[in-house]
Amino acid sequence: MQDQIQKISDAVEALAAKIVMMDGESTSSELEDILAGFNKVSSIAGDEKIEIIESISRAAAGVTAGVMVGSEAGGMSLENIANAISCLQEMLRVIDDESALGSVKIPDILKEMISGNAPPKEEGNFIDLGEDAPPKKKKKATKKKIAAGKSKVKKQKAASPPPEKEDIASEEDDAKAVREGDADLLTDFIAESNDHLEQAEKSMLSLEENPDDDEEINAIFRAFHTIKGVAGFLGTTRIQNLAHHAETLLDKVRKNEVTLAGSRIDIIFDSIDGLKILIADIQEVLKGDDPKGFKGYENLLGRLEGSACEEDETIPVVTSETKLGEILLEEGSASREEIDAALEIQEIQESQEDDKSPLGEILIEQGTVQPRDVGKALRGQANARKGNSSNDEGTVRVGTGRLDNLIDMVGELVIAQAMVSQDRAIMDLQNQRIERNMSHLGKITRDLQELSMAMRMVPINSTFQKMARLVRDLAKKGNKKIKFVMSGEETELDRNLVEVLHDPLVHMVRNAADHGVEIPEKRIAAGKPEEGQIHLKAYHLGGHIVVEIKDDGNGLDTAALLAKGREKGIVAPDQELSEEDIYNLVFHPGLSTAKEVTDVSGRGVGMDVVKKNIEKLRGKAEIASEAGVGSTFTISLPLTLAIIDGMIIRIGEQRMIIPLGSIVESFQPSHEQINLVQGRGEMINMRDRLLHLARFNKFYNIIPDTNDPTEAITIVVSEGNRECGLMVDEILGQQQVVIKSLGETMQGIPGIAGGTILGDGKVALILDVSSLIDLTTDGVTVVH
Amino acid sequence: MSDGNGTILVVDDSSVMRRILCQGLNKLGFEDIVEAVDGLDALSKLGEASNIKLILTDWNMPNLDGLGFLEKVKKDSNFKHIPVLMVTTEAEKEKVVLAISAGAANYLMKPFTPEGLKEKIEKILG
Repeated sequence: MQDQIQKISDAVEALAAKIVMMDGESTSSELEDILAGFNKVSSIAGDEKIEIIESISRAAAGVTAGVMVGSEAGGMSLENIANAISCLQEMLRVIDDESALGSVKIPDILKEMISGNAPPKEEGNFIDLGEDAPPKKKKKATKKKIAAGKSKVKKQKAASPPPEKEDIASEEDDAKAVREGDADLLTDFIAESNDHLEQAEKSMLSLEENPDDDEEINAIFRAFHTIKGVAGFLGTTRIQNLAHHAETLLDKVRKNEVTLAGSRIDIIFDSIDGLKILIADIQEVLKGDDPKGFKGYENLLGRLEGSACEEDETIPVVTSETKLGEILLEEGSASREEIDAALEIQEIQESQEDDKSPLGEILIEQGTVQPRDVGKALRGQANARKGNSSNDEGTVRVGTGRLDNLIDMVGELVIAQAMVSQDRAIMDLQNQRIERNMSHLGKITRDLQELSMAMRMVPINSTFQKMARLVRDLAKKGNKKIKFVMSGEETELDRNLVEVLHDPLVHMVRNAADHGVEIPEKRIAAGKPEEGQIHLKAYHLGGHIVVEIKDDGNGLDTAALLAKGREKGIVAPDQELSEEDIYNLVFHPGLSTAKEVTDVSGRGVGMDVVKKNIEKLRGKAEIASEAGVGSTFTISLPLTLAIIDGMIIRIGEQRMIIPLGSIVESFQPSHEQINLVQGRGEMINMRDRLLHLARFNKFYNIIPDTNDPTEAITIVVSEGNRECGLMVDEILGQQQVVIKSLGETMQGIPGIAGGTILGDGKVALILDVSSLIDLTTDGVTVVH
Repeated sequence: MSDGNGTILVVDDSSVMRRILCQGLNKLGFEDIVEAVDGLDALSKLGEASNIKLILTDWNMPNLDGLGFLEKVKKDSNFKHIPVLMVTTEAEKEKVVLAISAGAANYLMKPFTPEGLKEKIEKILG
């Protein structure tokens, strides 16, 4: 231990010698040495548990760093560094005398820093000095006066925050930097920045709900901060400047100097957009094209700067409610008994009025917990949820083309595996070992298929985010107040579908915001809350992903729609339509492309295109509406385009696949159950419900084993709320099948969705249940 | 100046930034580098690797930021001797003081040059 103290002394003496040599014109290299010296002292003192020396040298290192960076904080001077060294010398001299050690005067700046930044450690002890500790070397403390006040240090300022004139860095400069830069790095930068911007956008939107969420503000700040940092390296000055200005504004928000509200929200959104434009330009340049440029750039920088100085506007307060007993318990804001008592109250409420208050509310009402603590706990809860999801395990970006190829190949493997395992020659072997190995191969193949499919699954979140933004912009433009709510945004779907889903969603959300939700005056007049709501919801249902767009606007005008349909000759004058059929007129091409409908019903432009695109993907678009209450559009798409679970059936010589998700049940009807109904054809009475009987063979000229339904099997298939009974000769089994397109010329055959290759190498057609029901029931107004 | 024994831990939430740092370190002859995406990740990486001789960390990160990470490292007797180089920006210069007094060995201001990186690392590793 004595050796160690000797070492500390030596280091301090070296520091003292160094500082004597320095004057107001110290160089950064000299300061680096000083910093290294303090580091050394604190490190040894730390190992020896000499708390006081350790903390003083740490604080002194801090002061040194302050001088190095040219900190504007008080006390960051060479003089104070010298004072710190003197103080250390003094202490080392009396290190074996605890009382003398305690009375050594510590410079104020160090005291402040120690108390402010380094919390005292619990187990920290003063050094236990031996009796025979030798007297410390005595040396005069450095007394040389250092230029008082703030010393001038020669600093090589690295590219500092963009001064005004650099703001006008030209597009050409940036383009040049990109052309000369590391293309790989730039590509990564583009991808990462876009991720960041998307994240920032998401945070902005949730901030509009919860303006006080520090974690969200930090996330936005980080996005700009990271982009700025990397842009600095890449030499893309315009990006760096814009990100820097946005970061500055957000930093003020973070420090609660200004609030993020009103026009500032727009400015941040504009900055996100601006950065997207500038980043897209990098891509252009990398491709060898000219940058498209960003016209509002200078203007935006000006607005950002102005906004950071402006006065605050007022912001609304939003409360949220979640349960939170555990957190409060952990933080010591409430005891187990108190929370249990509150939970009991909640239970009683639930049993009596089936309308319980949130736990937090009960706790506050009872005066058990401060509202502030509940709020904090709630935020913590939300943050914890987010924290988990952002913990990524390290990723590799793979082009989607390669991924698609992989999935295709796995699809082929599945078929090949089935062909081998179902080969007569192998099945005839009756060899246990081969059977076991084949089943193992089958399992691995299935697992591989599942894995590869999962690789292409992404949450629908990012698509929803874009909608949130769209609603916000549309509401602003239309002077409406619209609250955007999403649920199920973590629902996953095939990446290829994400892109396909985007346009229809935009269309429907636009309709809902433009024409669905009314202007505030109208809403108030109709007795509705001033703020309208558009609810985007996603969930999985039987192998499909369902997306609902629900608004609480004025709904569809059925009378106007029907009148229009009659006028256009789509609906016969004497034809009576159900509500649902009238809504479906919206999707009719003859009606929906007509511009006037928009004026009459306020809806419908291009809806037929939406429906057609969705149906192309074996999906469905539906609409439900109630006058004055709102409309709900539902889009339903298969989770993946590549593989379905299917039931193999046989009609005559033909084998067909029915998607398993569409099958309700199968049975053999008796003679009494079969009726011929006037104008509706053959019906089966199944448990007092009338089902259309579909003789599929008739449509495609297949000769079945039997024409008698009582001898065949009827499979009930359903699509949405429609169903029919499909007559088949035999059910052969169930299998996952890889969907193959029938090629351009065979597209759009009613009743057929595609083909697949079965285990024996033969082709089987996959039935399209939706259009099959249309074929059978045939009574629907919408003409095919 | 690489001595072959010992790993460098690079902590930054930006993968591009990590790449820039790694490229810079590679040029200086350091090949043995472990990356972490935030402070929490860095703590677990510290636990996994036994021979980390230097940590380069960003300040602004989700989950656990650079300062929080630094404080945890300096409180842990297993790791406290590992020097930490804070990578910051000009805008954060007031924080440099905080970081150094909390135990960081030095700081590196972004954007830095290869020479700047070299100088700082030489100072720290002696």
